[in-house]
Amino acid sequence: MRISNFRNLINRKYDLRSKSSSSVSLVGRKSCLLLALLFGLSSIVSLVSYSTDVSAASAYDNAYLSTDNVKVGLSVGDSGSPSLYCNDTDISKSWVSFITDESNPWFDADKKAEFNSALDNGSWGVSNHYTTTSYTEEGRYGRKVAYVYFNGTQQMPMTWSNRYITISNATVLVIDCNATTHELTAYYDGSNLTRAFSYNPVYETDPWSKTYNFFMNTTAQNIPEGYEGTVPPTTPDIKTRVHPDLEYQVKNRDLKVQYLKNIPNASRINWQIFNADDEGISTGDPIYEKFGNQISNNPNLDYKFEKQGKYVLVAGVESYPPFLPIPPELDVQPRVVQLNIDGTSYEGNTEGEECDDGYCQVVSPLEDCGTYGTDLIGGIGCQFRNFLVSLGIAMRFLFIPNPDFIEDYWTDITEFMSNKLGFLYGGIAFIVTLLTNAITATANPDCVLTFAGKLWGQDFAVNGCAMQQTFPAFFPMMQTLVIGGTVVVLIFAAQRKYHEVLEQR
Amino acid sequence: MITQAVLYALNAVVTTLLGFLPSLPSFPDTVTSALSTINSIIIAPIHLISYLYTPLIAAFVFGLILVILNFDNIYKLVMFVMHKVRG
Repeated sequence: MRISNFRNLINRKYDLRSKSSSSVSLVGRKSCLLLALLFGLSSIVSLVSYSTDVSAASAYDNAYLSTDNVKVGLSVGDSGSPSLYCNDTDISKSWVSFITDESNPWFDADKKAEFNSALDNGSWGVSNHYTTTSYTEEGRYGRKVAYVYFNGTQQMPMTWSNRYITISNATVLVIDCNATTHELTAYYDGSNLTRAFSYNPVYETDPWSKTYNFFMNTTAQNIPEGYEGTVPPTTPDIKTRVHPDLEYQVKNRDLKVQYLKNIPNASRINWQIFNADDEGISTGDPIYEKFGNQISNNPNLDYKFEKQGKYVLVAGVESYPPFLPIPPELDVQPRVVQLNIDGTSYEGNTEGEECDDGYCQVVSPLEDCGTYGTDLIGGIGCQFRNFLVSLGIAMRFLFIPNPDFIEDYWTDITEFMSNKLGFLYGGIAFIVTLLTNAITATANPDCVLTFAGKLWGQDFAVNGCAMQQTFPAFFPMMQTLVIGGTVVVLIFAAQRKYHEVLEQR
Repeated sequence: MITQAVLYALNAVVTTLLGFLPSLPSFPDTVTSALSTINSIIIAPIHLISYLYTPLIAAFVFGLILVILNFDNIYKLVMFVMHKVRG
């Protein structure tokens, strides 16, 4: 805008020179007015464009820059091309769990204790800024990193200047992208250093040199007098990320999952089971879905897989009843569990080491012998136990057939025998059916035993197996009496039989 | 794997041998129906017992009844084994 105005002025000046001298004064006055008008407009435009600078009440107001989220990894270079690092990862909600992850070797017990102390009653902050990776002809490439500052006490003072802010006595951790593994990593960046965490005064207009602060929670903010800029938050809006913790047992094709903890009271679990590919990644739509309601005290899941294979169990969480929202301080995420249904039996717990950020891999039946380190005896014992487990798996594979196979085999052979032997097979089929029904009846207590007839001229039908529903108050009492009476009768019969046998001797 | 192979082989032998025989007629429907009724009559009390006693206790009681009914034979067997052990 201003450049075009300037060009107009030059053009007009050039035009004025070509006019006759008699009209110079008149044209000159008009030009002066026009010039003044254009300058006025330019000034207004400038004021609007840089209103942020102008509105600063103190020299410090623009030193603190805030952001709503912290992202680490990929950043876009000056040319618009992405740099070849990690995918852009939003760690606004996960940075605490990320840096405190047990797998991070640098975060030892002392640092963890200090960090916990800082979160509880100390000082801490998180900032996000660019780091330049390389310069090319097309411009600059870089990536975003996050700095985490903390101090177990509240002695992490901020010092303000009109160009930058420094904090002192902070332990500093850097969350960055590893150029080799392309994964997020965190490392310790010295201790008790003084850190500048606003923009570099040398590159004042360079966005790459600015630091965007996510949170800064310290009582020693030392905000300068007259400051009217953004005030660093002292009550951070941090959410705790939780996943429902589960315990599960796989027995052949039966799955039993018990919810343990970590979801709000007013919520329910949305159980979903997906088919999975060879990598254990869910594919397609869920093959089964059920809501586990905590309020009705039925949050668990029982499921029988139709066939063997790889599956993924997802335990999502949603508020229930819907008008009761999930507490805002919680970031409730689904729990994903890989399942390998191969006829073997195993059990797992999502609090185990196989789970990372809500995603649990298939439980390995083998121990990790690497944990024994230099303990030779323990290592040998571990290897021996693993050998026995592997031997068991191999034996099972060799000698115990797949249940699906047994089922199909039995169906085929009974059908063939029935067709071929006809009435000769009828007797065998009767016994087989009787045994099968008896086993089913024993395994499944739900039954229908109807007594029907006429009573005082009226038809009646009573289901003998519906007594629990018909007489809910008396059924447990009656059941106890029947079982107790049976035990007494059996003891009496055993005693009498015993005496009979002894008398015969 | 080995068990499956054995079962496959057994199936092949049985189907091959019976394949030479003609298919026999099955029971008339009336007989099949009668057998099914008998089956239901026997199963119904098992349902009721499982319902009243719960499956675990029902299995335990059933096992105990078998032991009591065969107490003579079990006693003889135990005594026989003990005599053998004593020499």
